[in-house]
Amino acid sequence: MPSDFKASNTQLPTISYARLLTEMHRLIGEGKGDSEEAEALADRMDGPWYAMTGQEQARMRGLAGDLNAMRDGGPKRVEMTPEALTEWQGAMREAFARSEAADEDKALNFLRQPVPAGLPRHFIPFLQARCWERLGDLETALVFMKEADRLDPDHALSVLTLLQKLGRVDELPHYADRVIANPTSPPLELYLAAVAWLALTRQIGDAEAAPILRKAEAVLKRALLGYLALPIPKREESPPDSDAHIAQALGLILERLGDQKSAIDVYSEAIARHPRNGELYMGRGLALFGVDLPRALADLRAAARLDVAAIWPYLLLARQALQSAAPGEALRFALAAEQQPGPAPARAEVYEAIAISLAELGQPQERVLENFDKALALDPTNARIRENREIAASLVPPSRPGRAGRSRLRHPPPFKPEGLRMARSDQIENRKELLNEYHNNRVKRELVAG
Amino acid sequence: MPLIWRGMKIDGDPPQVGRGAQLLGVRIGPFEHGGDVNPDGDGFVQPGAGGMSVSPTVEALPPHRLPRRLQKKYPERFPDATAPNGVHCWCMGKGAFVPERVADRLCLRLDPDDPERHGLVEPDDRMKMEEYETALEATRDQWIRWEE
Repeated sequence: MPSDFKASNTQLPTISYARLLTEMHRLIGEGKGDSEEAEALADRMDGPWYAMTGQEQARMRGLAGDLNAMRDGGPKRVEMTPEALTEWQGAMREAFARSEAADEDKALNFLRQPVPAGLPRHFIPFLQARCWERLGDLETALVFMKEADRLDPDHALSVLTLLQKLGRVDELPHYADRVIANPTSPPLELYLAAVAWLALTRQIGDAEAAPILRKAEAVLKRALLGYLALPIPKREESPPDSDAHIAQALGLILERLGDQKSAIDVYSEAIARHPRNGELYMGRGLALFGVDLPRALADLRAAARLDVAAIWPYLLLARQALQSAAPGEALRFALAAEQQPGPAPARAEVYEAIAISLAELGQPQERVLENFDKALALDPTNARIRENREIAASLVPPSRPGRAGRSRLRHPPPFKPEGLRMARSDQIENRKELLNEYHNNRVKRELVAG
Repeated sequence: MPLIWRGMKIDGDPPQVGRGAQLLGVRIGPFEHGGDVNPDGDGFVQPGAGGMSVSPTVEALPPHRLPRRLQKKYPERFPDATAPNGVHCWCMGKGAFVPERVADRLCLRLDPDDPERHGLVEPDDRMKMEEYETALEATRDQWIRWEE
């Protein structure tokens, strides 16, 4: 029975149906709408259709109509009197105010109505794409965004954003290159295109990635210069501290290219503009780690003082304090690191640092073991932590607080900053998500307001 | 007899009979693999366990069962029509869409999840799969093709 679809499928029926519908749309577009392939596709649509609620079916009917309309050139276009145009604009703003309040169906319904004859053709598919994105159906959003991009190539970045969210890396370079090749691309868009290239180097070594990194480096330098040349009101159209974000990505790329000096210069110049940006101190501190340890530690301390939301400065300072036989300070930094976001292996090392600090401060064995256990739960593959846990378990508790176990617990090896580059790339990726959202919301606001 | 609608291919004048979603008939097999009915081990089917999908109006047919030429001909009424053009819309009966006998040995059961828009033409009693298919085939000349 069709309604058994839910029991035998992990995908939501709306998502399944939308995928099949867009596939049908593709076949129709290729002149294969009456083929056996299309008939077989229609047969597969019964299951998800009858598993949907009435509201979901209505939304899918709307999608089917929108895809049909898109093939025919979009919604009907009509001449409007100035009064009618004003009324239409007001209705649109109201529909999108509802959309902001999570009533996307209202906005989608509005976009199906006749539109003013003079409305740019990319307008409707762009807003349709944003609605589907907010509904969580990125594949459908991509269909409409590609149509918006076909009608107005300035939407290349919006397509790029969706491709990244979908993990479709094979199409990324084409759209990133289009953004980069456009001489009018604003700095934020150049930054996002360069970071898309950076994402492609995730799985390859620095040497192999060098040609891509050099390309991204050039684009980021162009973005940074472009941003700094903007008049203040124009800068305010970008998210705050945009140049600091660009500098961080550029610094990381220069580090990966082995040019520590240029990387440090980029961070230093950005710090001069943003002396309270902890992430820049963190970047410079990590770049300085193998070059000038005292300056590196000073920068990491500055980053920690500025409450940077990353695990690395606190963890490295904790490890450094353990090396310097300062378990009290190590514990303080490790407890601060515990509050920060970070990948599981790093969080495991934080609990290891807490355990070692507690052991060296002569704290009860059960507290030491409890933290080693937390560490192993986060990273069961870390042999050193496992060995340290065994050592701590075998220690005879001292009769009074002291350092009985210190000499036997193994301290982590010296830190290698290049080991963090992948994690720092992830941090840039996360920030990019926010900036993408900022960009798309700004375009949407401009379209709706205009 | 309730008025029911279904999208089906044509075979001469009447709808084409067969085991398919666009034919006068049902798909046989487990529901999770797209079957409409799943006979028991002895080859029997029974009421309340699946049947041939129908709708109360032509507008209530799913978009993928509405031939897409309708979108060109009636853009306001069928903006969503997406099915291959080999399909036609057929109706049978004339009464309210209620659980009732629709033909000899066949009953309409309303989809409990969507009783206003979807129903299933099922056997009116436990019977062999072949008997059920014969009963469906016997309705062939009762279907009226909608003159678009």
